[in-house]
This record gives sequence, structure tokens and C-alpha cells, in this order.
Amino acid sequence: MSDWPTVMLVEDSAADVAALSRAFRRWHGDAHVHHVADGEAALAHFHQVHRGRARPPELVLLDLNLGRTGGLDVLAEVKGDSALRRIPIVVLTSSLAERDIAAAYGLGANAVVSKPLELPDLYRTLGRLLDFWLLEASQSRPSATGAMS
Amino acid sequence: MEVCATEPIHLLESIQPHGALLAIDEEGRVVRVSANAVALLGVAPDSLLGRLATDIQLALPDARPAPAEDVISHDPRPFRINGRDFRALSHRAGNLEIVELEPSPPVADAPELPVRAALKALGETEDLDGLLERVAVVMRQLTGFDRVMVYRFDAEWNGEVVAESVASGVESFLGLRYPESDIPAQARALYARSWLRVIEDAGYAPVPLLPEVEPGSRRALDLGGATLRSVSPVHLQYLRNMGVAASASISLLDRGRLWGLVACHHRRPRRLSFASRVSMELVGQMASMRLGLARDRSRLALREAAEPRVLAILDRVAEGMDPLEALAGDTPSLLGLVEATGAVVAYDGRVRALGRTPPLETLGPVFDVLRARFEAGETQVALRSLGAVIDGWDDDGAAGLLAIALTGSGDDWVVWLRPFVEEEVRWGGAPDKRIDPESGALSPRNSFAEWRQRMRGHATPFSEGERQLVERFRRLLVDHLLRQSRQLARTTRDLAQRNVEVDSFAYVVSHDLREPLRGISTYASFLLEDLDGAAPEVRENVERIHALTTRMDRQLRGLLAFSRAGRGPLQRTPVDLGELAREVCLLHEASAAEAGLRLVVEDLPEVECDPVAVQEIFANLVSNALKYAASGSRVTIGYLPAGTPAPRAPTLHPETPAIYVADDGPGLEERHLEPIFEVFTRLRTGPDGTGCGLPIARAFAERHGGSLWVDSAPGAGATFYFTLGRADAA
Repeated sequence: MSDWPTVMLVEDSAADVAALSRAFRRWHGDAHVHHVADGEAALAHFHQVHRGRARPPELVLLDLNLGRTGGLDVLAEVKGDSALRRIPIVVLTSSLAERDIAAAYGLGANAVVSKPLELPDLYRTLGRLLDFWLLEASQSRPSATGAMS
Repeated sequence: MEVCATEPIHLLESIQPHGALLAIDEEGRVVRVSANAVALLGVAPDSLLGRLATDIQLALPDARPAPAEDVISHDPRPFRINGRDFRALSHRAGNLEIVELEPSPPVADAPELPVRAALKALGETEDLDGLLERVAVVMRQLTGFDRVMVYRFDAEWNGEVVAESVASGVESFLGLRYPESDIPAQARALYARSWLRVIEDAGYAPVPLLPEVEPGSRRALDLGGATLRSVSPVHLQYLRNMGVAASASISLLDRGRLWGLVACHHRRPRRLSFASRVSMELVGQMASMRLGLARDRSRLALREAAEPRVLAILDRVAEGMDPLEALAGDTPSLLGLVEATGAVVAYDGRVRALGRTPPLETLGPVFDVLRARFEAGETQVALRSLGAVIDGWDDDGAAGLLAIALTGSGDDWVVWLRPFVEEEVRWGGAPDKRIDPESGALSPRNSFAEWRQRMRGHATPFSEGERQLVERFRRLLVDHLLRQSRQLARTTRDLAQRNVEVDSFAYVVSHDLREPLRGISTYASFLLEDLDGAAPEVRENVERIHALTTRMDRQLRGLLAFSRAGRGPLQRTPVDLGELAREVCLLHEASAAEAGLRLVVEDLPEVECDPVAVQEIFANLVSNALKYAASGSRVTIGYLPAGTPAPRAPTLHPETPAIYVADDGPGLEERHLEPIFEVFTRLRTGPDGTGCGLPIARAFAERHGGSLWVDSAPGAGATFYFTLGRADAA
């Protein structure tokens, strides 16, 4: 069980968390879901990873609309940190604003994916995401102490 | 012609014989003398030239004031020499003093009318015609000449006899015209310098000045201010041909400018007393003053008569009416402002006709002329003959015009038109037959039969008063228009501000409201997944909730797209609209096939526009058409070239191509033609529409500086047109 990859879900909408949880359960693979509900909690966790006190997640699903510390702030922090930037971050957003999408890519998001409204669509989209990032893409994992050396 | 036109008539070096002339230099020495002086004064030969004037004992007062240059209207000084009485007039010409001596008293010619009464009579008339009439009568009563004419110059210095008083048996010249060359420029210059010229006997033999100097040379004496000045032989011949033995002319000046003459003729030689001459000058000066008054009064009357009309028209402009409508409106109409048979108003690319005008589409060359004059700095243009400035212009209804520029564009004008008049000009002798066919030299006309000539293609000129009136109208109008455009600018700014607010509101609504909506949708979906075994109506109700959230989400996305359509910069680039339209059709091919429709793209032009925005326009119009076109029919995309009248277009002749998307669906009722462009019109929001497609398409067209509209009628399908504005205007 501890070998399962970890997916960090940064999402403040309870409805979306519930929907994504269902989607995870329907996925055929195995993964831990680590949910944090706001940007501050996400950053606190990444600081732990930076210091080698926590394992880096294999994938981050990041909502943009998070309140005080937004998804773009989290993205900027992680992708601006040489020890963390290899962690794949997929931005999941309901925003249709061009400028949000452009900003996310500009900050180094690995992908920006629109959250489908319909559950079946959401299941399909998340399934494909997890298939690709957890099963198909080869990941270069930062060692827990790599950042220290 | 050349001979007369250049003849230096003030340097002829001779005088009339009824007096003697001396020219005295600054040292008081006599340097020139007329050849008749010795005999007339009864002095010894050689006693004048080279002598000091005081030595000759001319009994001139010692302490006389320095004579003013070119002034002859002063009291003659009496003196006696060798027992003979003379009157002396002196004036300055350059650095010489010219003294003219005439035996006194000349033949008595006590006036029928005392000067005081004459001047009073002039003061009693108010209008110009009455004044001129009275000048002629008074002048004849005062002087006893056979014929007294008031002669008026027109803008080209041709003259016309406009008032006359004649003795019985004397031929009338009233109404005759004389060409400019009859009183050439150098004569007119002299007339503006001095008030009075007299020829006592047209049969006189000129007396030369001694010592002799070449006439016209640099050393010739300037006799321009001398009453004894001998006139041109041509002029004497001219008078003799008319049977005139004596003549006098008094200048009429309007604010210092030569306006005309009072010309006096007599069939026999005639001497004028000094008193008569002074009276004539006084009458001339008084008449000149009254001229200005009469003219001002007639202008004032014109202005007063026009004032209510001017104010009413300006009120319409001030009320914020479209300036074109305000100017072209009736009751009262512009047309009555000045005497005109037609008027044209051009404003902001649109043209209106009032009264009788040529077809508007033929007015292009007229506006070209006006624009050129505007670019040369003129804001008012008056033309007597359009045919003279426009090749091939032969519209008899519009031969002359008066135009005022309304704005700084050079294209916005009010134009008044006058028809051509068949004017009969009675020339005093043919104006173009002045060269003697035998000698080739200028000869005064022998025939004074009137000469009729038709002035083709000319309109009655607009008077100075009318021109002043419309100039005032123009100033007031420009003022109003400026005020209105400032108001408009303010409104536009306010609107722009409101737009920003509406945009951000739309953005917030569409963005932030989608979050909770997603939540409702998600939980409804959970319920549907988890509802195994529930009653069918429960499932149906949840499905309805879910369907409604889906529809609302689509509408919110439409609203967001609409708020974006009005913002952000356009990227104009040359775009092949045909290619763009075909791409859009490709995307809609599947749904077209499903509906049994064909999409047809005809030839489309290349246009400078933002391809993304225009693709959006096409997509919205095509998907709209697909919804309404009858199965089995086709949806056509084509265009009307620039300048082609397009049905229901906001401007009659769009200056850019009008692209259309036409369907043969049920069409629209008149009252629905506009509402379909409002966001979320119920009419348009079907279960699968966002309700924003047409508003979005229109917003994109308008951002290009163009417009988007529909032409439709129930049962006749609908054709959506759009224009994209000019690239250089956006």
C-alpha cells in the first residue's frame, strides 16, 4: 500500500472534492489521494517536501480558485523551486478565462485541463489523466534529501 | 486695349487751357509752368521760370499752411496780379507744390438748389435706391448739367448706370453697362484719390508744361491731384462721340473704396464756379457716407427678417436632433434663409435635398470643388456659374451656389442653389469691339446703341448681405454642432465607463456563479447515480434539476463570451473571407447534414479584419441559420460589394462590403427584428442555445466599426448582413 503513488489534490470546493473522489474510486489503478483544502495548506506541505520531511507526490491536481493563496501562487512557488519543479502539476479549472490558462502555462504548469461539468465526463477525464501521469509517463523523482545537498 | 490700359493719365504733361499752373520747389523757386501762364497772368516772358515765387509777387499769403498732399478740396485763395483777379488752389505732389490759377470769378452759375437743402435731401432717404435717385436729382439741380448719372462698379469693375436725372430732350443712359476697360485701373486709382474731376470743354487744346519733359517719363509732373489736369485724348474723343462738351465726375467711396461715380454731362462747354465744385464734393462725400448707412440698414433688415428662421433651425440642432435632420427639416426650412430655389445638406456622409436640386448622385463634382476651396481655407463659397468651374456642368436649375462649411471635414456643407438667369445686359456699345479695325489702335466706341448679350449659365449673384447672413448662420451652427459633439463625447465616455462595469459584472456573474452551479450539478449527478430503486418520478425530478443546471451553465458561458466580444484589441490582417467561411462551414457540416441542409459559400472578398472575431461571427450566424432553415433547403453565404444598397442597412450605401448569411426559414416579424440581438431574448433561447450568439456576432461586427442587422419577413426567410468598417477608421 505504501508503494502506491500519491496524488495531491488541492481543491477547496467540497462538491468538486466529492466528485473527484468518486472519479478516483472508479479509476482502475491504485493511488493515494492527499487532499488539501486551500493554498496555504498546500504550500506548508511543499515546504515539508523541500526539507525532505515528506515524500513528494507523484502528481498534483491543482484548482486555481482557492481563496487567499490561489492556485497560481502555489504553482509559482513550486515551479520556482529547483528541488520541486519536476513534480508534475496539472491545473484543473472551471475558469474559461484565457488569461488564467496562459498564466498557468507561463508559470510552468504541466497541463491545464478544464473540469467537465458532467460526472461521466469527469470520470473519463480524470481516468485518462491518472493513466497518463501515473502509469505511462516516466517520472524523475526527486530524492527526499536531494534538496538538501 | 494695351494703349489705354497702360496710358499714364496723370503724367500727360499738359493741362486744360482755362487756367495756368506753376510748380514750385522746396526753395520757393518756380520749376515748371504751363505755356499759357505768361499770357493769362499778363506777365513778361521769362519772368516765371526759375524765379522765386515771392519775387513774382504772386499775392499768396505768406504764412499759408503747408498744403496737404493730393487734397484739392480747400478754399481757393483770391489774389490780384497786374490788375486781374485770380483764385489760387495749391496742393503738394511729391516735393513740389503745385499752384493752379484760374481767373475769378468764373461765369456765375447760381445753383437752383442751395447746398444745405441738397444735403438735407440726401439725409432724408433710407434705402439705397432712393438715395441714388436723389443723388442724381440733387446733383443736377445743384450744377445744372444736362445729364447726371450714378454709375456703379460691380465686382469686375464693369459699370452700370443705376440712377439718372436728365434734362428734357437728353438721351437716357439709365441701365446701360460699360465694360471695365472704359474706366481703366489707373483712372479708378485717380478717382479714389480725388473727389472731383472737371472737363469744361471737351474741344479744348491741351496746354503743355514748360520746360518740356517727355510725358510718362520719370521727370513728368504728377498731375493726379490737379483740377486743371488734361485728360487722355481717348477720353476726349469718347466724350465727343457721345455729344458731350463738358463733363464732371464725383467719386462715390464706400469705406474708402471706390464704389461708383456721379457722372455729369453737358452738351455745351460749361464753366463751374468754385462754389459749385465745393458743393459737388460735399454732395459726393455726403452720398458716400449715406451709402454705407443704407447698405448696413438693408443688411440689418435682411438679418432681422431671417432671424426667427435662423433661431428655429438652430433650436432643432440644439435639441439634439441629428444635425442632418435638423438642417433638412421643414417649418421653417433652410431654403428661405436666402433667395434660392434649392438647397442641399451634406453631413456625416449623408446628403439631403430641399426644394429643386439636381439628382443627388450628380453632385459629386460640386462637392469636389467645395472640398478644394475648403482646403484652400474657405469656409464660405459663392459661385455665380458652376459651369465655369466644372467641365460639362449644364444644370440650368443649379447654375450658382452659396455654400457654408459645417465642420472641419471639408465634406459637410449647407449649399443653396440658384437657377441660371437669362440676363440681358445692355452694354453701352459692344464691349469687345474697341480696337479700331483700320489702325489696330484703341478707339472710343462710335456706336452707343445698346448691346444685348446673354450671359449663359450664370445665376444672379448672392449679395454681400446674404453672404454675411449665412456666415453668421454658419458661426452659430458650428458653435451648436461643437457643443453637441462635446455632449456626445461626454456621453460616450460615460457609456464606456458603464461598459467596463457591465463587462466586469458579466465576468463576475458568469465566472463566480458557475462554481455553486457546478456544485448543484455535481450533487444532482450523485443523486442520479445513487438513486437505485427510487420511484421513477423522483428520478425524473432530479434529472430535471440536472438538465436545468446544464442549461444555465451554457447560458453563463454565453454571457462570458459576450462580455469578451466587446473587449480586448482587434488584430486586423488581410483575411480571405471565403476561406474563413468555408472553415466554419466544415465545422458545421455534420449538424447541417443532420438537419438535411446544404451550406453554400459564394465568392467572398478579402477584407482587413480580425479573423478570430469574424470566424466567431460566421459561426454564430451559421449555427443560427441551421436552427431555422427548412429541411432540404440551403444556407447561403455571400456578399454585396461596397456601395451597393443593402436592405435595412443602417447606412443606405455601406462603404464596405456587406457579407450575408441567408436562410429560407420561417422568417421574422418586423417587431422581432431588433429584439433578437438582445442577450437572452426568450425568442432566441431554445433549449440548446446560449441566447448570446447573435449579440456576440453583432458585438464583434461593431468592434470592427461595422454593423450587423437582419432583413426578414414572415415566410420569406432571414438574411443576416454584416459590415466590418474601414481598416483605417477603426
